[in-house]
Amino acid sequence: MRETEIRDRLREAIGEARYPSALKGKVVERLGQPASRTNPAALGLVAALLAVLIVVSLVYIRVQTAQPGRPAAGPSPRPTASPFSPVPAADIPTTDLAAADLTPAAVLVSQEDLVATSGGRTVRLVGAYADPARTVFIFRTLPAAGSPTFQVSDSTGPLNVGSGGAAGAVGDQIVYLFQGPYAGSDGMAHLNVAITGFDPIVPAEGRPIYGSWNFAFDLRVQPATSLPLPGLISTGSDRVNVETFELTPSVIHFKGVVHGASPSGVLDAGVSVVDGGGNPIHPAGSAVPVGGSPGATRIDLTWPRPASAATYDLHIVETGREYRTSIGIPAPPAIDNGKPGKGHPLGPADFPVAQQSLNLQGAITDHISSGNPQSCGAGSGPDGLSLFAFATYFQSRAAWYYVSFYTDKAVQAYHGPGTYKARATLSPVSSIGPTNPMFTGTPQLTVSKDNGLHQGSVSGTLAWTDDPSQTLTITGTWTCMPGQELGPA
Amino acid sequence: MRDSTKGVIAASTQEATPRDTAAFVVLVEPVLPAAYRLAVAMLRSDTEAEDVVQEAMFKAWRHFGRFKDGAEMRPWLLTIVANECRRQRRSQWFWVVRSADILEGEDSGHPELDAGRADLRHALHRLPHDQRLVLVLRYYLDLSFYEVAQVLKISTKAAKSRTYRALERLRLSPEVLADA
Repeated sequence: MRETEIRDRLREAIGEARYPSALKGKVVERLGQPASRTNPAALGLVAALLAVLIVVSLVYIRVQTAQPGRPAAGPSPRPTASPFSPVPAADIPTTDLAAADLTPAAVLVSQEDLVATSGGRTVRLVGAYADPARTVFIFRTLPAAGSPTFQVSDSTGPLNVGSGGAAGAVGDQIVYLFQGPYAGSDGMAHLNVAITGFDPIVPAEGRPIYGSWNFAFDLRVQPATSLPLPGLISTGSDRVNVETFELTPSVIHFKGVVHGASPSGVLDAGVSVVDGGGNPIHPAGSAVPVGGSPGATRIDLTWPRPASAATYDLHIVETGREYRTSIGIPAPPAIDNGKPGKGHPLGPADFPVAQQSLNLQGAITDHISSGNPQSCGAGSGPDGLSLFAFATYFQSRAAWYYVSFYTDKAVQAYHGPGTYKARATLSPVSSIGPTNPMFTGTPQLTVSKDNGLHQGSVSGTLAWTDDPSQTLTITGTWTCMPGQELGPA
Repeated sequence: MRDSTKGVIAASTQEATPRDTAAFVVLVEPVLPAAYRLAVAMLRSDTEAEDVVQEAMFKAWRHFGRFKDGAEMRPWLLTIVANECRRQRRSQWFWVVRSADILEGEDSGHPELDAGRADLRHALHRLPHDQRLVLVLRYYLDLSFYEVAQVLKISTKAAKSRTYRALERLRLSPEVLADA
């Protein structure tokens, strides 16, 4: 082929570019601006398109890694212990961390990826955390089943201590023990967690769910820092033998024996922690009488650590006399989004609010009247095929979620307003963004207007990635304003 | 173009005056159309191309102190534009561009011709950056191999070799490549 023919064909293929007469003026204007230019006109678009990419990337990663499905049933493998990482677990919802009093220790929560299926129910161990004062597990199962009955063993045997629980994002249940597990010389605990049932159980068919779900894994026990306190504190006629007073990454931990007080008396007013404003911090833990020692109560209490540096006071009040000491609490490890110098990752509230009218039925039942759209608009990839994407954060029962739709260009390239087959994901939100998709599906995405205030509707059903029989139907209308309004406020 | 005005331009923007800026613009203005064509061909987006050219000219302005006396302005600026295109392509969000900006060939009324053109366009944009760049410089900007080599900072022989390999990947094997 001759070069002239090659030139002609390449020019035809590329097409002719029309030189914009305003370009020189724009260059002159640019020369007068600082190096770190922010292009206002492009800001919203960049934010929107970045979000689209993130969503598509997440879907791609999910598709590449999740098929043909996560292992289920049978004993879970014992994974290699997770080393410390300053990056918070990307798959643990912030709602769960808050419910577990783990927000200050978010970077230390171990993200697990263990799934077990038994009795027709799939249970995922989402995350775990341990320090000398507590052991925390985050389980996920649908339909939601409340706190599980469970047994935890470490290398020394079962942990027979008090426990508590709380609800997190959809399907997530946090359970915790008021004690840390035994850690070997490497700082790791070898744990076996056996769930024997859920309570309360409200099965659709009216019969109880029988099954057992077992998880075996290694978990680093985070170290605690001792806080200064005398070993023996006298408050009038009462004495307090201090056994432990320490600061863990998640809590302030006090353990000791109070002589001269009943368990209820100790918990009612005896030992408390107040913040700098004098407000009491809600404790968790136990107070039990010490066998063979009348009038002695062993207390084992924890108070959530603040999310930033603070000074708290410990008060021990018995028979009208008070002992008080200050607790200097340093800031917890900063969240690192993996991009040095990039600052704190954007959260849902960084995006402006827009009106929505989305109805959720199934795993989540709610009406969403507003959201914080993260992206919307049309675009195309290297293959030149266009797609349209819409994604928004929204809140349901105080938990943040992220739902994303984009037209399936493999079915039909986006060519303007209309109804398209779409790919959709719905995820709880972690401290660094949406978690891996919890629900996926192929609903219909209708784009009514794709300039100015973008508008449209959605209709379809998404399935839980761990158990497709658990579904979430989403219908309704959405709005999103791209451009400067979209993106960090 | 031989640069004879460098002496009037401050080496850094901190020292720049409006007169300096004007002098720099006078210097680069003749290259802007080629710079824009290069960016459009590499990025397939009018909007992105405008942004890239502005940013490239800004970087050229900031680093004008590195411009060697006696060197040619056009290859130097096109090198910066090409680098900026590469940076833009690598930025995460680039691959999604507004659909209205995507340059498509005009409908010829002959579907088979349009399809062939589209195939070649897609094949061109699947090429590695360096191979796509050499073809754009040679056949879209009509640079000589000497100029292509200057932009790419390689020898003329290497520029021809790279051009040949890129054409082969597009199944546009040339009979012979001109020396010029």
